[in-house]
Amino acid sequence: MKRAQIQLGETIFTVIILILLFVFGLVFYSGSRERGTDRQETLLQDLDAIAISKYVGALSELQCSSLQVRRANCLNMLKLDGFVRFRQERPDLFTPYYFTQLGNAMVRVDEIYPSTQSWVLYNNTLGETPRRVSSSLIPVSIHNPVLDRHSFAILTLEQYYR
Amino acid sequence: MSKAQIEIQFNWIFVLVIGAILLAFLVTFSFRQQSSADQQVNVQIARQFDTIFTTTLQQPDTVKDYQTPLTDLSFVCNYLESRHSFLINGISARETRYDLFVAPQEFSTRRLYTWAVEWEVPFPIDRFMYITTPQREVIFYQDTPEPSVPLRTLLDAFPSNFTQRVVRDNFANVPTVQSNRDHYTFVFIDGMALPPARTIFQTPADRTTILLVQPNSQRIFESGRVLFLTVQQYENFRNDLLPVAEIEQVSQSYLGKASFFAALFSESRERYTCVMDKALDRLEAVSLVLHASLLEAEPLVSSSCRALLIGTDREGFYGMKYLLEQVNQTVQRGMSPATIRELSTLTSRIDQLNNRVALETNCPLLY
Repeated sequence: MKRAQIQLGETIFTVIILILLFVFGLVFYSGSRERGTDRQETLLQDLDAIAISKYVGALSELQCSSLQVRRANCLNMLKLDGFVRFRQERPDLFTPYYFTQLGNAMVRVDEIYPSTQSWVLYNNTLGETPRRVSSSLIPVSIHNPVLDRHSFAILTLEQYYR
Repeated sequence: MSKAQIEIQFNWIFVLVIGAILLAFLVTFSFRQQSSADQQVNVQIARQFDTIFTTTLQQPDTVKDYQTPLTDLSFVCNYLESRHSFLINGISARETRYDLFVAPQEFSTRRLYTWAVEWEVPFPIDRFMYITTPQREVIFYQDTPEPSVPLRTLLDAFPSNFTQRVVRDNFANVPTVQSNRDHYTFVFIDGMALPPARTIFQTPADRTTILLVQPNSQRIFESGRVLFLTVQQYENFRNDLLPVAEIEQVSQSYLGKASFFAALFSESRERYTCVMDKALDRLEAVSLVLHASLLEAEPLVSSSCRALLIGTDREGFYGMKYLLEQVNQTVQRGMSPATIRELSTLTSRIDQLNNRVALETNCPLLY
């Protein structure tokens, strides 16, 4: 009987070990999948940031144009001023549309040469500290249509993720 | 029963119980994995379509042709109830409240055509994106040996990749149900000798849209009206029996090339009106930004430039600022033929003023 008990014990122990190994394998696999998903999420967020920065640069209400001919990577200074004014005076119209396009983000244009000026075009932060902030910096030209002069600027896009 | 027998039985019971637990666990796990994999596939498909749309919108006037897995697509546009979405296989993939997407309501396809056109009235507002498939055909009717100027303009602008045909007055290539398309859109231009309905409409009524275009001039895209007709209404119109009130109910105006093609590809008056309501929202926002930029320019420019941009006290002379204010007020009324008529007048005046501004030195153009 003692021998039978030992055998039974061995069987139970073997099964328990197998179960534990199986569970460890599943936990390891799930963890690996989660890390892979996180990496993919980061990649997609970076792609989103590029798409949004392209979108901002191509907005007809900001882009330089001359009799319907639009110029890429060029922002009209008067339109920048007008855009900021519109944002401040008409948040009821501004926010619903631009939030659907930009989400939780901050978009700013900083003129860096020959003078320094800044325009905050959009600012919608999360109510809490973001888990991750993705930043994109795009060089653009700013055209002053009154003086017919160009200046060098950086379009900054920061996206906030929970 | 001996102890050994009891032991063996107990062993088997133990093995069966553990085996059953393991099996249940594995089955649950595999179902969860399958559900997770399905969700991943849907997300991937949604991302692919997002990329398709973003790419198309970045390159206006370019037709794109995409192969996709067989997918059920739906585009919901209901302006009054504020329901705007794009669904893939029944699952909402994107909110489209501010997207000017013109597409059939529901369709299944393995191949997608997309085309984006900038809407300019006369300054650029936004891009319409038209989505169609090779199984949706547009049929243009030509009543004379050579196409009229409006028809020629339309045929030249219509993408050659899209499924289309020109039916002449000999009706040799009229589409029939054997053509086996998902949808047929017939386009007639007012002023043509319209053929009898029985000679030309041989496709199922539930898969047919009839458009009668009434341009305001030979420049078909400038502005005009489109009538969305049933076969009976077409026949009544042809015989001058369609009441004016009914004509008003089935018609809607267009302004500009992008708007015209929105009417063509929307396949119904309701969907066209919905997308134009969204377009007018964008027009309102852009006109306000431009209005604000004029106010910023006011102290910086010469008096002659200021007169063009802001206006003067002289009666009857209105600057760009006033015209933009009028645009804004007109747009508030919503989509209607009267709105489009007034916008057409205003945008024409804005265009003339902008051309005059171009002749001034250091005077910023509106667009």
